[in-house]
Amino acid sequence: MKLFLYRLIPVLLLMLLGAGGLQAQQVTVKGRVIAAGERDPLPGVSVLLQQPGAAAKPIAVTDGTGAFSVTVPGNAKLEFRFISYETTVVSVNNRTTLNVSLKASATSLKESVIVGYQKKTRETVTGAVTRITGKELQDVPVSNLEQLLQGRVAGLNIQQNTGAPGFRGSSSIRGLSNIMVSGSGDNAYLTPQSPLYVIDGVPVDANAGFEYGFQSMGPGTSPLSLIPPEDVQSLDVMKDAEATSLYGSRGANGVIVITTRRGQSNVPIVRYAGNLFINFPPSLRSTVGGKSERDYRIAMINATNNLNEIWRIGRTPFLSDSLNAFFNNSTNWQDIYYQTTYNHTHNVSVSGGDQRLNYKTNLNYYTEKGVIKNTGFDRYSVNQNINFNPNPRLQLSGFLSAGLGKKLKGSGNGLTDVGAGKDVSSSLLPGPSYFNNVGHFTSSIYRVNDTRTYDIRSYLNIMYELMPYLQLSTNTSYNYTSDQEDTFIPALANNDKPAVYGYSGRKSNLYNRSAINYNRTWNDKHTVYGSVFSEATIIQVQNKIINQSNGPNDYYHGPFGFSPWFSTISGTPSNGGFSEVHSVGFAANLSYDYDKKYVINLNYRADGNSYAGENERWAKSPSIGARWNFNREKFLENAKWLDFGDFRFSYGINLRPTTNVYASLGWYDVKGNYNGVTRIAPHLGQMPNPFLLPEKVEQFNYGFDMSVFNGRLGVNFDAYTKTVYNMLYTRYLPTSTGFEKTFTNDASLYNYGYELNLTVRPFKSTSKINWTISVNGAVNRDVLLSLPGGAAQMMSDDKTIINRVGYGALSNYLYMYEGVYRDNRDVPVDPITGLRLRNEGADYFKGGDAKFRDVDGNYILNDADLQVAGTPVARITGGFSSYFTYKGWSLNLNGTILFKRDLLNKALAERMAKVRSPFGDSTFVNISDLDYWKNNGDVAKYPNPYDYYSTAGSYREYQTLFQEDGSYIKINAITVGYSIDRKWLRKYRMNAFRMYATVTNPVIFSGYSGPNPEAVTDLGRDRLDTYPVSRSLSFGLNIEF
Amino acid sequence: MKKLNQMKWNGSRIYIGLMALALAACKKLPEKKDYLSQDATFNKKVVYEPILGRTALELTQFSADGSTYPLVFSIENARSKQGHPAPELFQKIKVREWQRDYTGLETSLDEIEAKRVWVDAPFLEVRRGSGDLIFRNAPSSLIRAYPDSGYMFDIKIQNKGNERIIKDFWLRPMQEVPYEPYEYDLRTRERKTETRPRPNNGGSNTVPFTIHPVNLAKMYYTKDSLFRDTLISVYFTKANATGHSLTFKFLGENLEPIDPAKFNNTKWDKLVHGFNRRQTATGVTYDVGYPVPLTALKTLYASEGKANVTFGYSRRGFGGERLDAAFSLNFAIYEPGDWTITFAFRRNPIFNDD
Repeated sequence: MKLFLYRLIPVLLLMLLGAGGLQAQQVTVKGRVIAAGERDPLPGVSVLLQQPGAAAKPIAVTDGTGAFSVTVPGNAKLEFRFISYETTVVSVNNRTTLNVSLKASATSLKESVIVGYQKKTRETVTGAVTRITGKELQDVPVSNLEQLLQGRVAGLNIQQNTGAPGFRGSSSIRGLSNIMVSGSGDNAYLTPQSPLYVIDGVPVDANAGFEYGFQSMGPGTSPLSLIPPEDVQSLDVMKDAEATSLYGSRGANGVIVITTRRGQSNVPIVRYAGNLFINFPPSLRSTVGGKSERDYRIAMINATNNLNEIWRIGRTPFLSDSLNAFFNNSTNWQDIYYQTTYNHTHNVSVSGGDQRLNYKTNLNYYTEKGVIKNTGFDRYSVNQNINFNPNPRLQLSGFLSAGLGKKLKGSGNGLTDVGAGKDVSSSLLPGPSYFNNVGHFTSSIYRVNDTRTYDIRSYLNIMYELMPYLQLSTNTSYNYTSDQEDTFIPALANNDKPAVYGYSGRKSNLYNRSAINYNRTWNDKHTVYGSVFSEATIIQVQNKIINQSNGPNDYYHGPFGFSPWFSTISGTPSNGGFSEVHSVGFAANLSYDYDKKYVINLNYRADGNSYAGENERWAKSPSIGARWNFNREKFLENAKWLDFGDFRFSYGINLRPTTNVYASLGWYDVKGNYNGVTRIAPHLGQMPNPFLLPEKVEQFNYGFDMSVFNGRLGVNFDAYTKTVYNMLYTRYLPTSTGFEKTFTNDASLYNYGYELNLTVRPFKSTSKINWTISVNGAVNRDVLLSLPGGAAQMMSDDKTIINRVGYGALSNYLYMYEGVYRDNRDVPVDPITGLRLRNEGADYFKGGDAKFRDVDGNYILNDADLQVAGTPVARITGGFSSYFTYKGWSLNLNGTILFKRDLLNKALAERMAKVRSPFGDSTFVNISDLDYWKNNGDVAKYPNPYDYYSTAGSYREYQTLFQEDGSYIKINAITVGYSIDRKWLRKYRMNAFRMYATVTNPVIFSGYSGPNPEAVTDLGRDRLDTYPVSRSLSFGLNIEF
Repeated sequence: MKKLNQMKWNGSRIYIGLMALALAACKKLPEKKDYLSQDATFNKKVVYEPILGRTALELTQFSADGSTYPLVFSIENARSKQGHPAPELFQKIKVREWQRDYTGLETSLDEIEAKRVWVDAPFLEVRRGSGDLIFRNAPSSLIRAYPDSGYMFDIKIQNKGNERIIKDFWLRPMQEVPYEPYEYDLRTRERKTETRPRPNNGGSNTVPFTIHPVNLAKMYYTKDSLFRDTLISVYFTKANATGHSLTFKFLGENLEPIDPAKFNNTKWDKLVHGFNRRQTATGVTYDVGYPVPLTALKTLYASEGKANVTFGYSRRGFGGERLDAAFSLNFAIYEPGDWTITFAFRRNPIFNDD
């Protein structure tokens, strides 16, 4: 109490003095703010006047040279705030010149992060949140922002599984959230588990066209591809339930909050960032061409000793008619598809203003031609924000962004490119020419593709301080995305029928959030923050496609009009073609901290969703979090070595309503007439389940952070468990129900894991050398807890993925390959029948065939010999980065780590399949690098590839021969930069000038035999037609005026 | 002191609280076990009727219904149909098993015999991994055969963490059949009958069954009458139970021997998988390995589990036409011995040119 009085008296005195008009002597303080290490001036630093008992009042902002000038009382304390620098408080003490150097925030503790739509200092955050500043993301030109997050955050697993410009890889936070596998074979895909993105306070669905799986119908451009990375101020990645709970049901897979830059300087700042980058095609597969190819093929056919096969040679002109000039070629087709491309990107931003009114405009242009011809991505974007505080109580901010993404998709759907990957022609076929038609080629190169995504995003945010400590705010946003695609396929590429494909889609998202916040600190010790808000969203989607063929010629690209002659399909695709979702949410948050030492957070949110099962409309997400900043305890008060240290705990539940409207509400068809009345009846394929519950994700998170020796060593550690209950799963029904299947909530999944982030700064912060090394890693294990109907295991559609209770959720289900039979005598013999091992219903195995494990020991290889083999889910993911500066020089490096993942090298499987079809007209891949069986007695890794007529199925796709460890360590990018000394720049009136060169994807260390262990599907299948991830070299320039 | 205790208590309370907090996240994980479907079943439970005297593998067509392999099958509770113990089912007998694969390309009897070994094994066994049943070469002196009602047994299926017993398989072995085709009924052991057309199209006679060759072609016994298969009977006779030879003999209508050399179109070296051919005026003898055929493998000499022999002769027919006459027999012999297969022609075939 005494202490309290002592502190209160000066405050009261001050207030009294103020009220009496007796002010302390005013002084005008001038000075400069510089960065401590680099000694560069910092423009845009907020200068705040500390007021006892109230929030610090912003009074100035440093200009382009870091200078400021304020008039304050002589005894005032000034606070200097700048993002990613430590907030510094300086007492004026009647000085008139103040030179302040801000230390880069080594400890990252004082910086604020945005959690649950609120800005909080990191000290009071109880959840697991990681912040990345825009500065770390600048130097690499990318078409999709998400790529830059790869390897940066422990537990955020981003895989760049396609190199197609403008497309998005896969991302997931903390292991699997869903295990439903749809489709089969190469096209099997895992339900996407992308986190929710919140861009400047507005939730945005980053998925685009994912409902179609690999059969992407439209442009498939993610909104994230339309955000210029240069415009990003910061990214906050939220992993646990407590941090995400206020984002409602859509945050159940984690949340990534993106904040774009704002104006901060009185003097307008013009920033230019430009990049010239060169993309190099990957090394191509070595192929066999010309006479060698023909010889190989014919030798293989002759080796069958089968009259019928040999006879077929004569019926296959490109094999038999070798003297015909038409077939006497040796064309390297692959080379024709791939190219080295020169690309560039430019970004200009103008920002300025002060605390009262500030603005920012950003213009961005990005163009990238893909390494596969006829593919590419262009981005045009303009965005603008204005913040206006007409008086200290009212704050208005508005934002408008317009983006246009233009894509060229070639013959693939963008994620994959069929032409260049899968269907490369035989070298013997006539070379590239329009009229000597080679269908594979014509279809990918002469296809005319015009694909646009227009994206308009806007918001208006109004905040009003009704009375001290109580604020009202409302945020309304409207996003509109229009997807257009027009594709023309010339006659020669489509069986002499010119075809057109059109896609037109629109998606709008109207969103409002209104909140009441109460924020007050008593006695400098007790801080209470309370907030209640409501959220409402309306999302409308409508997509149409038209697919017509039989056009008149290659010059008329439509419209064809309606006629059965032209039309094959047109209309709204039943899967994801039309939807309208209304959702409302109510949330409350209460947090309390005692002297920033003990923090407790309580959140509650309820979401109603029109997609939810009729009887289960509301999803409720409660959560709780606590934090103990033990460095503030008395016994550590004098521990100078300790910067901060804390323990965190959080627990929460997120409910995720189904995203499948048919699952809960059913599907009805028009089914003919009854008594002259049109009859509408349930679609019998799928039974609605009105009792469908939202999926429930329950998370526990235990965290520990510590930083010692002025940020020279920092540790963040999180342990978590994440249980998904009521997981949506297809359940097949007995035919007596009249329905084929329904969706139920019977499956549940458990994830647990550990995340560690380690930061080391080998040099003191006062040293000229600034070097930050950080390493992060996450270990995640998933265990399937239950399956529908108490089943112990379930298979995917094509029976190659198995889900087993008690084990990891997804496993490959394969034939076990155990080598090659050296000769016939090596094949096991049934002692009873005296017969060799054989495939069911097929011939006996022989020397050179694959040795598969006969699990059931009946000397017959069949489905009973399939075994659980490996898991396509990575166990360990992580990344590393190094940031080194010395004077004007900088050297940055970052990379990604992934361990313990089993891939299916289907690229090799398909490549072998092509070699094994001598009559096929696909390219003949050189396999001389493989250790394969050639003669009796050979001990080889691969079975005899030339024995194509055999029934042994030695090269079947789903076997462990093609399952490989997909662990890798990848360097994402290396950047060397140089900033020119300001003394020189002043002559040219520039503030900063930085040049840099970046190599992207320079090297990947992996034992995987395929081209790239990363460019595989979510299910770990390396498709032959994957769009390769290219290596690129870029030269960049940043100028600031 | 009291204060200290109090502090300790407070401390431990916090400690307990923290422990509880940490344990709250722990979850009892389901047991790691395989799946064994309740619907996993054998398509056939009654009745298994293996023929004694030969080793056979009976595919039980176990349908796993998605159960996780590897599965382990075992026979439980084998008993006679009346419920008495049946130890004879598992009594070790001396049988031959293949060690290496029989290819049909072996060039001596020794080479074939080197691929098989004598082992001691029970009559009844279930294949451990697949549930197929193995019936070994046991005599009816050991195993009760039809008309006895036979045996019952259960099969236990296990995989990791699961166990199921499928009950009441019925096994009713059949008595030995030394060769096939066989003149006697499998069950009654009475002579089978056949109907033969009477000469001159006067209906048919029912007579005791004899074995006839198949695929008769261009065999004449007069200038213009072709052999019907019923005009040739085949007799299997065994002389010495430990022998390993096979002799083909041919008899004319008066039971006089026909010189095998008259069947001049016969590929004697590729007739059966036998060795050391000894041809006399009365027969052709080979050393062979028993059973004939040795396995179900399709070889030059056998297909579909039967040895195929074809005899032929060539002559000039009426009008100078070349007639390649032939007849075949598909047969199997399950018991070792010095066997003779005799083709008795009820009419004398014409071997001379017309």
